[in-house]
Amino acid sequence: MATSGTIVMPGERIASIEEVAKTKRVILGPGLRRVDDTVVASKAGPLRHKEPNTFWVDNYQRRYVPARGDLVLGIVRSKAGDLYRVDIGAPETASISYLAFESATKKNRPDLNPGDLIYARVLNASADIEPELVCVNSNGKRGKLGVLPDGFFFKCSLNLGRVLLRENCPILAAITRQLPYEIAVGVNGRIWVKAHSLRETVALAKAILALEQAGYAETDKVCDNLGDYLEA
Amino acid sequence: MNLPVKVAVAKDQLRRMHCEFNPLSRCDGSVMYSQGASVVISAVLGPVEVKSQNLSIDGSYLECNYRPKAGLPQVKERLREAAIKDILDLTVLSEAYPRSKMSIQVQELEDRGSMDACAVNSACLAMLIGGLPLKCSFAAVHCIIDEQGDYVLDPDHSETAHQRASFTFAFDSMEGNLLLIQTKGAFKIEQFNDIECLCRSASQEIFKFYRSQIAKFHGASQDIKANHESMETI
Amino acid sequence: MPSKSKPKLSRGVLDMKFMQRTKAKVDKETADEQSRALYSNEINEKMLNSNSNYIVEPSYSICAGLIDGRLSFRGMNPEIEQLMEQEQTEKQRLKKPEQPKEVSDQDMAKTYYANKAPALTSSMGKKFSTKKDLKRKQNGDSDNHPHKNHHKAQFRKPRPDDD
Repeated sequence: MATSGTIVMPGERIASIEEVAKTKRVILGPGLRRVDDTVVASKAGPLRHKEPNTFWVDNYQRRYVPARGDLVLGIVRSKAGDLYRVDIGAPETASISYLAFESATKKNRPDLNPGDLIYARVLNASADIEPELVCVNSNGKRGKLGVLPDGFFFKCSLNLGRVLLRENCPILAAITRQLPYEIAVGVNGRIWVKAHSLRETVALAKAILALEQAGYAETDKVCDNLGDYLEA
Repeated sequence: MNLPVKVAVAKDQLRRMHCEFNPLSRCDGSVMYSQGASVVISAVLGPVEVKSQNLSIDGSYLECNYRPKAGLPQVKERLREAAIKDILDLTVLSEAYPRSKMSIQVQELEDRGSMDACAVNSACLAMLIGGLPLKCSFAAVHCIIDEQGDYVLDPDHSETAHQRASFTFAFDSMEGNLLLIQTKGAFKIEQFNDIECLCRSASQEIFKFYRSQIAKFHGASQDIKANHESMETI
Repeated sequence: MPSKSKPKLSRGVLDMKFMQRTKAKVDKETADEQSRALYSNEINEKMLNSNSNYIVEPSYSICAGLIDGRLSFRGMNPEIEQLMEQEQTEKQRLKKPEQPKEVSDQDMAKTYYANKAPALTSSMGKKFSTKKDLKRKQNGDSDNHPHKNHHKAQFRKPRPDDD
């Protein structure tokens, strides 16, 4: 489980990781970099550790930097030949081939228009190339990916997205007790929600955004007050 | 004017620092920072798309804008801008995001002395909260020699009227290397050395302030993790 | 220099039709040689033979073990909920792969032999029986031949009260 949480600042050498690395392999996540044989932080925030050997800095950030394997929400911006340009909040627009959808063929193109919201996986990401998305898994099945119709879309910090995506998130469970809903959370700090009525949907969005405003400590309170958001 | 009343601070102390994170909603990170009665807002964007004329394949393009309280930036503001950019060039890990741009905007709200140092420090806090990769953090300290020949650290506007010389030093957080020196007026080399030492030790206080502010900001978010873990063990 | 002492094929020979594969090989070798020469002053021994213990993983989702962000609750989107359930059962299965065995391996082997193996031995036994045996079986033992009153196993329609 992610523990510790000592604050590290950029440039700080992290001896505890170097200690671990002497005996076994260590995975350095975002916010950490290796300088020769030392490990140095490059971002400011609490240092996290997950057993057995993963370390990263859980810094506050709003700008998404694509990483391979991430699940993101994107807005289709335009069609460009065989590709769609998708805005995922990264420095560059991402691209998705029209063949990267379930049962798409050269003849049978997916019906995607500028402005559509898609939930996709980052297939390729590197600082030097444009990120590439897919909407199918390795078996060519859609799974949970694809276009998100209706609903309500909003942006938040990357941290809030990550808080919602931890296993057994108490926030989502608390909302479930209030009303049936579906949600898509991208690690790029974008959230899409949908409930039975428009009123409920907007209340849901407000409740989730309130978590960002309130600071995470007041999660329980916000969840309890969800009813108020619904009435408001 | 409802400026805070000038509190008598010892001449060898920094004025009170205060900061608030993310007062602006549309940028990637912003900070309102005050040092005594001098107040600035800094905002960062990055990494973002870059114009092709500024594009570099081995590092991101750095941009810095400084806006005075009123009117358009003049020579003085341009100089300040250049100073901040020079420091950023040395400390930002720009090779992490090639073909992109990192942009920082500093808006002066109230200039009551030590503006150069104030702007540099707010820029550092904005970079920290915006999650931009840095080789190290940085802090700047302003100091003057007044008419009696005394050193005044981080002077207020009112104290600078009859200064003999003024200095601004910027240091990095790790090795304490000098990143910037700005001097004005007449002084002896011993005085310069003394003031450098004085500023260097004061910069440690600023780094401590950075850390405590980041800890405070993340402190709230750590509670939930603690709660969450206790829930899981049940 | 080893490359000088090595005999080289002339261009005329390499341009011949049947030499195309050799030509590709030679081209690749020279290209490798050139690139090695080009970067040799930038690549040092450490870069070539260092085996670092650090692996860099830029994705938060993988580091923190985040779940998929597409979720549905209380029947809002049955399709998604079904997928979620599938994942859940998959995870449960991975969590405790060792279920206590109700029947021990030895018991299993015994029952298997009792049920299946006789059929197998008889069918294999046919291979080794002679024509004589077969004839004797057909003539003499036709009355109490096991196959006569032994129907071949097949599916039957379920009766309505079979529920």
